Amino acid sequence: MEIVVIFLSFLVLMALGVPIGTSLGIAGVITIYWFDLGIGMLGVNFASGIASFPLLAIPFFVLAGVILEKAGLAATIAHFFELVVGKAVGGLAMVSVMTCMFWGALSGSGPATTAAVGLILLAPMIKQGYDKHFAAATIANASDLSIIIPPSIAFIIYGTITNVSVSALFVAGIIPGLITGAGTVLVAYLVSKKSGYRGLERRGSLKEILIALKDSIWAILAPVIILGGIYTGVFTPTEAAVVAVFYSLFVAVVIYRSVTWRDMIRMLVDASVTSSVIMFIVVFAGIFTWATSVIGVIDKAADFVISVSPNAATMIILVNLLLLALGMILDAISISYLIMPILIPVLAAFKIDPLWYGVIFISALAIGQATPPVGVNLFTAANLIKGDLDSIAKQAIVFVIMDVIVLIILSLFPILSLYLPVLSGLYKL
Amino acid sequence: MAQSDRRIRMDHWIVAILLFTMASIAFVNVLSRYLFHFSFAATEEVTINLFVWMTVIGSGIAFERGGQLGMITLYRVLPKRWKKFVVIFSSGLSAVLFVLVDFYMIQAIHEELTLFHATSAALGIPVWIYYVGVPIFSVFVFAGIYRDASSKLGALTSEGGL
Repeated sequence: MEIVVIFLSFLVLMALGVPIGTSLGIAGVITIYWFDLGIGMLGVNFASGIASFPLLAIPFFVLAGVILEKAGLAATIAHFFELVVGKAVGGLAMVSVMTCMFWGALSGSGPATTAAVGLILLAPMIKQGYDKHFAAATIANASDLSIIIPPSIAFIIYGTITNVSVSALFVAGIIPGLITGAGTVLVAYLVSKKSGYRGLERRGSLKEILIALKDSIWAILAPVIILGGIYTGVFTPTEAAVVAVFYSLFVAVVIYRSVTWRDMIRMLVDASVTSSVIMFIVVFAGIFTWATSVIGVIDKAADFVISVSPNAATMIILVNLLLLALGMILDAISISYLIMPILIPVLAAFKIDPLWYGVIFISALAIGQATPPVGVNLFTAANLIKGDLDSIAKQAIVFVIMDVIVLIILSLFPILSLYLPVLSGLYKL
Repeated sequence: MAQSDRRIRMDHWIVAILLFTMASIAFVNVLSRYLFHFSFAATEEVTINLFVWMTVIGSGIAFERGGQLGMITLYRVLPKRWKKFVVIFSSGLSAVLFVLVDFYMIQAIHEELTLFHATSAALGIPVWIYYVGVPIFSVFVFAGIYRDASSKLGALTSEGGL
């Protein structure tokens, strides 16, 4: 009975539009108080929920992304792709997707990528004759890749909850990210062909392309350093993130000279705020999950999942459906905290590899970032074109179908996720 | 999320300095470990505790900018009188949550000062010093919640009609 009240209170608060972190926090406090789990520890638990070295990668990756965006690197990269594929049918749509993919390797957050790439490419796309809702849907959807392609805040959270190495998760995301990216490029091309979205007037000459490549070198080096450092085991993700911060600062201040002191303060503030929005959910989701697990809800839920699933495949399909549904109303971080603690014993019972499952889990949640009514990337894109969410969501459907197909492929072939982590020696099966 | 305010306020300065300090300490640690094979790993403790403070202040600014994640589908279709109620109710709950966190944090600090005198594992700093930032910087959270609520209520009132 009490349990029903707790979950209902959380859902009602959420539905009313109370911030997700507050809803989780209040539901958690009610649980702790009701079951006498030691409310006196609330303050200390709040602090210890944040004070973790792996989670420190979040503000650092956010900050590095903010600095590189301010330095103008997204535009440089977009220009390079424009010269290479801009002339093809749907050229700018494909340029958008590729720029999002690349930006995903610098930034670990979907909305950040939507904003960075959208600011540069939405206006040119609309000018070129693209339906503005399709343009926004393309970028919102391609930005899903940010949380699959490393670095990824979602993987950091998954690793924190499940104790799977974040480095291994990052490396595991590379191939699935490229496959999803290729699928997104394909959809952008097919829709453009059907709708008659033509490419740009001319292709870049080899010389222009080489010059653009040279100009992009500072941008290209960033993921090389981040991912290279993690892949070879030289850096932990948090170390890679802080190296990325100072690399970005070097590029912005010394190479591009595009950042003033005033900008610097603003960027630090914006990065702190973005990271705090995430941590606000992390800390109260952590308290809520802890409380519900102590009172045994998690175990019961896990037993339930195991009892309704005759085998591992059914379990994965059922949970994927649940994740897609939850992805419509909740953000990726809250879902991770609400669902993963339940799934840890389930994965063990079915002998499912938690690293491989992490890629499936995050890919399923990535889809939710571009599905209404709560799709963080959709929101960001809608704000950028001052357009309406539902029209963008309609245009996003075809991308979502493709994402689901990729999700099925990733679920059928674990090797796509596990090959690189094992090859790099970061993970042993 | 809303754009930054033009003016750099005190909370902006503090949060910026905290994040920059965190990044600098962590970077010096990486450099010293790989270049000089010398580790200041103990300073990690300072970094993660500054992270707590930064999150508290950052949450306040996030409230003010209306940047906290939430579901607004239902809210959008509510009649105006209900919207006002929901804004007050939601802000009130967020404030209550931080009041509780602060209350029990202050209690914990009091116990540390009078009973336990615990010190941190790596640097031997009394833990209450790390704790005390939470209630102090919460001032900015309450300010942020208040500013968010009053700007939303102001907008609802000026819209006119029902």
